[in-house]
Amino acid sequence: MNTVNNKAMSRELRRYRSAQISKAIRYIVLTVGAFIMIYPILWLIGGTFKDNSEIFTSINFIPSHIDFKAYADGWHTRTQYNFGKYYLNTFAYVIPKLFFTVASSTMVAYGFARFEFPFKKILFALFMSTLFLPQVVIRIPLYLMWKKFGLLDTYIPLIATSVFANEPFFVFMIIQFLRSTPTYLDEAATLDGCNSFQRLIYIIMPMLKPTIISCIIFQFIWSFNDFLGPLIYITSLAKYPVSLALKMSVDTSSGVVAWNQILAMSFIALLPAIILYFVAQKYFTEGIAASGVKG
Amino acid sequence: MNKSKVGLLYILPWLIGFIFLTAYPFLNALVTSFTDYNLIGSAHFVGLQNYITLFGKNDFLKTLNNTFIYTLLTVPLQLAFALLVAFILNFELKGIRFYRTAYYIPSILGGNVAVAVLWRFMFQQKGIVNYILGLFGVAPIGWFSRPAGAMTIIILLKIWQFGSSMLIFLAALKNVPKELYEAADVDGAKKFRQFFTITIPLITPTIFFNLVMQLNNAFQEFNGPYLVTGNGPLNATYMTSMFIYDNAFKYYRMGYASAASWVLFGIIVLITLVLFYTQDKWVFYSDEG
Amino acid sequence: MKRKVASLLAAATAVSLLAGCSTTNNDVPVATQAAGAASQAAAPSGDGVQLRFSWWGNDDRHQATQKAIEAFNAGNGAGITVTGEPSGFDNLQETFATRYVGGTNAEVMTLNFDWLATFGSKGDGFLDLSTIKDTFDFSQYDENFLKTGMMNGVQEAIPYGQNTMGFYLNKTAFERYGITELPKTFADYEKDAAIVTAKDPDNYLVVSPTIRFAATYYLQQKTGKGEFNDDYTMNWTADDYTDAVKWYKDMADKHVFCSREDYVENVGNDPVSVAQNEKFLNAGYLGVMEWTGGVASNEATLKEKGDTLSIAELPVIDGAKFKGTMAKPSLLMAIDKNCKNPKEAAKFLQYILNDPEGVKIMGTKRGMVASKAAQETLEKDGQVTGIVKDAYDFTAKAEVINEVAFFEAADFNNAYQQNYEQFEYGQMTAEDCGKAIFEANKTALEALKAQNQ
Repeated sequence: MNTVNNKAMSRELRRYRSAQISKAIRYIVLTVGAFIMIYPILWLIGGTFKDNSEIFTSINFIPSHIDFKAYADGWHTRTQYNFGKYYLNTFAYVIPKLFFTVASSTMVAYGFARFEFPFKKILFALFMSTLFLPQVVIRIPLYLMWKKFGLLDTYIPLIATSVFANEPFFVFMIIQFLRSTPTYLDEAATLDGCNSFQRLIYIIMPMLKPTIISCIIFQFIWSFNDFLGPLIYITSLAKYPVSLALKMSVDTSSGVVAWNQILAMSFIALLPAIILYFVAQKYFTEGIAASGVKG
Repeated sequence: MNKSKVGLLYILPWLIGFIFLTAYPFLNALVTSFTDYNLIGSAHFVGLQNYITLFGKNDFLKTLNNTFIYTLLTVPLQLAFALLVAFILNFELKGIRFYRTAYYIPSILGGNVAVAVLWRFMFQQKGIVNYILGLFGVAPIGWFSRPAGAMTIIILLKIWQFGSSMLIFLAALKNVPKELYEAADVDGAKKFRQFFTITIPLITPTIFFNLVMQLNNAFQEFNGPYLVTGNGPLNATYMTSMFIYDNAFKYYRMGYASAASWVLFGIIVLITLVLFYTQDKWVFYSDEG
Repeated sequence: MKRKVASLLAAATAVSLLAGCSTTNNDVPVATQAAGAASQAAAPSGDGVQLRFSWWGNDDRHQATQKAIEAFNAGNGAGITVTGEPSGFDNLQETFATRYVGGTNAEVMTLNFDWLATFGSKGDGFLDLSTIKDTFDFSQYDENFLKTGMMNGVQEAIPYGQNTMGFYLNKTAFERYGITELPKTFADYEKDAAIVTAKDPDNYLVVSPTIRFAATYYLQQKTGKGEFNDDYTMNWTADDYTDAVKWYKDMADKHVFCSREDYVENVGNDPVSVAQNEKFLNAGYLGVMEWTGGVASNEATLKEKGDTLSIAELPVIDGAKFKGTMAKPSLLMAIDKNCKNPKEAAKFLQYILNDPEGVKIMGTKRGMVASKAAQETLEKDGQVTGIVKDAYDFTAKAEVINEVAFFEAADFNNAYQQNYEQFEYGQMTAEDCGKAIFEANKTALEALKAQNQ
C-alpha cells in the first residue's frame, strides 16, 4: 500500500516537476526571443542619451550618462511648432482613416464574400490585381489628379484610399476571415427577418471583431509611419504630421544632425502604436467566444 | 430588390474609388510604358521599345532573378516562423501580453533608423554574428561585401519583421472554436498533432491570405535593400522594385520604369492566379458548407 | 447577445459621428483657415505678394532660415510675405521631381546641382535671371563661378557657395602612429599607409565614398581637363579610365584609398557622409575625401571622440598637367519660371544672399558663400571660424576645375561604381573596366544630348 502510494505521489511530483520545467523552458525561450526582438528599441532609448559619436560606434544600448535634454529639445523643435502640433496633425487624418478603413473595408468585403452579383469574378480579379502594381509609377499621375481637384496640401489625398476601400489588404483580409466563418448564423438571421445590412451590423461585425481590431492596428501603424504620402502631398509646416517632422532635420550633408533628438522623438513616435497594440490584445484573447455571437 | 444587386451596392465604395484612385493612374502608367517620358520633355510613343530593352539588358533580368531568389527563401520561412510564434503566443501564459507585444515590435519599427544602424553593427566584420559563429569555429564572414552574405542579411531582416503575418495568424487561431480542442484529452504530443489535424485546416483561408500578401510583399521588396545593403554588392540584392524606383526618380526614365512595373505586375498576377486555382485543393472555406 | 450587439452598435455610431465630424467639418477647413489667418496677419496691407521658399537641411539651417524669412517679412515694407517650406534630405529628389512636374514647387527654391541639369538643361526650366538683374546684385559673384548656374547660355540659378573636393585627415589618429607631419604627396600617403597597416592591417588612410572622387581627381591632374564639356563631349579616353582604375586599385592595395570591398563592408553601397560611420569615427579610416560642404559634420563628430580633423594639402600625381582639384556649387537658388512676382522673389534672394542683415542671420549654415559681399559680412561678424575658416582658406588657395552641371547625373556615378566593383572583385580586367566606364558615359551623354535638341 505504502509503496504504491509513494509511487503515485512521486509520479505526481514528477509530473508536476516536469510541468514546471517545461514552463521554465518556455519562459526562457520566450524571453531570449523577446530580447532579440526588442533590442533595437532598447538601443534606440539608449541612443537618446548619447552623443553622435557614441550612437554610431556602439552596439551597446547602455548610455554613459542620463540626461533628458534630447527629449525636451526634440519636442520643442526649432521650428515655430512643437511636436504636440505634429501629433495633432497626424491624428487629424489617422483617426478618420481608421474609421473609414473599418467601415468601407468591411462593407466591401461583405459584398464580395456573401453575395453573388453580375461580373463578380471580373471585379474581384480587378480588385485583387490592384495590389500588385508597384506604386512608384502611379505617384505622379495621382499627384496631378489631386492637383486638378485642388486638394494638394490637404489630408484628403491621404484619407481617400480608406474612404473608398482602395486598400485591398484590409478588404481581402476581412474576406478571408468571413469565408472561414460558417454562414448558418446569417441564414438564421435572415429567417428572423433581418435584411442584409442588419446582418452585417448584428451578425458579421461582432464576429469580425478580432479581425477588425487587427485592421485598426495595421492601419494605425502604417498610416502613422507613412512618410512618402505626406511628403508629397503636404507642403505647409503647419500641417506636417509626425512622420515628416521626424525626418525634417535629417540632412547629413548640411552639417551636424542632432541624432539623439531624432532618436528621442522617434521613440516617442513609436509609443502610440505599441500602446495601442498592447491594449488591443485584450480583444484577441477574448476571441470569438466573448464577442457575443456564441450565446 | 434583387439579391444580386445588393452585393454590387456593398462594393460600390470600392468601385468608385477604383475608377479614379486606381484605374486612372494605372492606365496612365500603362500608356507611359509605351513612351519615352522622362518628366521634363514631352513624351513620345516608342511602341514596345521599353519592353524590348528590359529583356535585352542584363540588369533588369538580374533584378528579377534576385527577386525570385529572395521571394522563394523569405516567404516560406517567414510564414512558418510567424505561424510557429503565433501558435506559441496563443498559449495562456502569465505575462503573455508582454511577449506578444515584444514579438510584434520589429514590425512597428519598420524602416526606423535604429534598424539600419543595428543591422550594420550586428553583421559587420567584428560584429556579434561573426563572434557567435566564431565560437563554432567559423572564420569571420564579410556579410555586406559578399553577394550571398548581403542577400542573407536582407532575408533575415524580412523574417525578423514577421509581425503582421503573426498577428493575422494569432487572430485566426483565436477564431478556432475552443470546443474542438476540449474534446480530446491534451498531452504534449496530442497537442502537437491537433495543431496539424484541427488547427491548420481551419486556418487555411488565413494561410492563403498571408501567402498571397507575403508573396506580393516579397516581390515588391524595398525596405531591405534600401535600408541595409543599398542593392550591393555586385547588384546581388538589387530588387526589381528598387530598379523601378531608380529608373523613375534617379534616372528619370519614367517610361522604362512603367514598363518594368507592368512586367513585375504580370509576374505577380500570374503566380497569384495559379495560387487561386490551387485553392480548391487545400483551402477550406466554411461558407462553402 | 442582443444587448451586447446594441451597445457595440451605439459605440460604433458614436465613433462614426465623432470621426465624421472631425474630417468633414474640422480638420481641413480649420487648417486652411488657420493658414489663411496667419498670412493675413503677416500681410496687413491685404494685397501683399505671397512667396514660398523651399530648402532642405538640419535644425540649425531651418532655424536660421526661418529667422531670416521673418526678418525679411517684417522689414521689407513692401507687403511681401515669404513662407518657408523646410525639409530633410530623405526622398527629396523624387519630391522635387513630382512638384516640379506638377508645377507646384515653391516660387523661390533651393536646387541640387544635378536638378539644374535635369530640369533646366534647355535653359527654360527656371526663370531667366537676367530679368532680375536690376534687383539682384550679380556683381558680387565671380563671373566664372556664376556660370555653374547657367544652362544653354541662360542664367537659371545662382550658385550659393563653392564645394571643393579635398582631403581631410584625422590628425590625432596619425599622431597615434607617430606620424606628426600630415602627408603632402602621394608618396607620403604610401609611406604612411605602410606604417599604419603594419600595426592595424585593416585600416585605410582615406575613405573615398565613391571611386569617382579619386578617379576624377587623378584624371584631371593627368589630362589637365575636366571629365565633360558643356556640349556633352568627353575629354577622357577609355585608356584614361583604365589608367585611373588601375591607379586606384594600386592605391587601395597599398591601403591609401579604401578598397571597394572594404567600403561596402563598412560603410555601404552608396556614397554617403562618413560622419555617422563607425570605422571613420574609430579612426579605422584616417581621413576622408569629400566636398568642403561635408567637412563640418565630419569634424564635429570626430571632435566628440577627442580627435581633430584637418584639411590636408592637395597631393599631386607624377607628371601632373594640373595641380588642383574639382569644384561645383554646393547648392543653387532659382526662381520658378511661372512666378508672377519675379521682382519680389529677386528682392528676397538679394536679402538672403547679399544684404548684410539677411546674410548675418543666414550665417554659415549652408557652408561657404560665393557672394563677396556676404563673405565680407560673415567675416566681419566673426561667424567664419574653426574648420569653416580653414575651408575658406583652402578654397581660396586651391586651383579648381568647375564641373559641368550634368556631372552628377546618376548614370555617371553608376558607371564608375558598377564597373570598378566588378574589376576589383575580379570579374573584369582593368582594360575592360576602363572601356566599360567610357562606353557607359558616352551612352549617357548621347542620351542627354538627344534630350536637349
